[in-house]
Amino acid sequence: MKSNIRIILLTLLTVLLVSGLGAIILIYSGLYPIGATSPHHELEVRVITWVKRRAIQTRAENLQLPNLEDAKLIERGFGLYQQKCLICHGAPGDSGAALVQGLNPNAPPLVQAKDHWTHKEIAWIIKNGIKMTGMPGYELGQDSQELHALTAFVSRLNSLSVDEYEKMLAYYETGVATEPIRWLPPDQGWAELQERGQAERGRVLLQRYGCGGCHRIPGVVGAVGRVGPPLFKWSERHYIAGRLINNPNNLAHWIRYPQEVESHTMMPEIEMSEQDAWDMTRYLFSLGEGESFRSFRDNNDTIK
Amino acid sequence: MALTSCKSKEENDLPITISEQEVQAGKKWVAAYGCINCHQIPGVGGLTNDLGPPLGAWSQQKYIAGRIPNTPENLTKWLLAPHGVEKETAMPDLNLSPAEARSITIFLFSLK
Repeated sequence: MKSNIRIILLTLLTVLLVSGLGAIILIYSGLYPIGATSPHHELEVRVITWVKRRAIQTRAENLQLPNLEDAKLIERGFGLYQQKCLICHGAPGDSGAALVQGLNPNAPPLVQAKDHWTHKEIAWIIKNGIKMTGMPGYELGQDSQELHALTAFVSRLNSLSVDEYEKMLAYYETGVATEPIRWLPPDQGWAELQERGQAERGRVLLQRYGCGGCHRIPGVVGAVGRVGPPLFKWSERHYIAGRLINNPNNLAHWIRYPQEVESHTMMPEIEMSEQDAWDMTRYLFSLGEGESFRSFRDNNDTIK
Repeated sequence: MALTSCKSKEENDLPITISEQEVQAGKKWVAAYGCINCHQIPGVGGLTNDLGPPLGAWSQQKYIAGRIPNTPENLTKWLLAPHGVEKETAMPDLNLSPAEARSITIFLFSLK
């Protein structure tokens, strides 16, 4: 028994020594691809992402934030976003400046920020920045009102369409709003989806309406088409047809009236009841993990 | 360099054989321009995001943006000026050079 433990310990020690030595040789040889144009290895990304997530989660808990669902706050955040964030992170339909496209890691688009982070975590990142990523901390010279406004707008991006964003931009640049601007997010239809949609019926309907002729859809027999995009993990997708925010209200509308949303789309308009559209929407939102983290995001800050 | 056959459909205007080197060049641009920030792309590591559609097996896809046929020529056109194809798309114009767009096209069509 005792000798067994000794063998195990010795083996572990040897493995540690050899891998440590290997790491030193790799570093000393200069073979590590340090250039920004060589992508990270998948494993590197996983480890770094995990470190980042845990470090931020642990620290963000103690931040105090006011109610961010405030039109004035979001409007102020829009202006600050234009000055401080846009150049690297871009905006709906805008990739940011060409100057920063060679960054590795790239500054991620923030339209999905609220899907992955809580309000507090977003505020923490803006306030403190993230080492070795190019993300600066804005702690110095920034009053907490500005931090709250930026956090409020970054969180609003999640449900902001290209069209709505452009209206905000026009108002910001000219000071004139030709039509009312929706600073607060509209209802996404999550409650209605829970109430009305029947996933199993939707799955059968997707098959019956022949959706699989053009789309690959998990769980629908014979759905192997490649005319439209694959609908894998649909609930995690951010846009419909590259322009509508992917939420239950928009998807149920798109399924029935695609040509109204985008004339000339290949997506055909099929006559169906509203109920059919809601059932198919419910099934599609059951694909992937998205429904759980997106449907609660407005009010519940603890689900990521 | 290993040669790969890249003739996947009748209207394919890519050369019949393209070198692995050209594919790798395209892959490099895909990573550098941050395409993976919005699309899942096999072989290009990074966080997986779902703003746009996943691009696995791209060569078999029939249409781009739900409206123009997926030929290499059209894909290059789309990459160079997405808003020229669809005014309101969330796909950004990345100010690619024609050579870069061509290179990325070659890489995407190598995804079988």
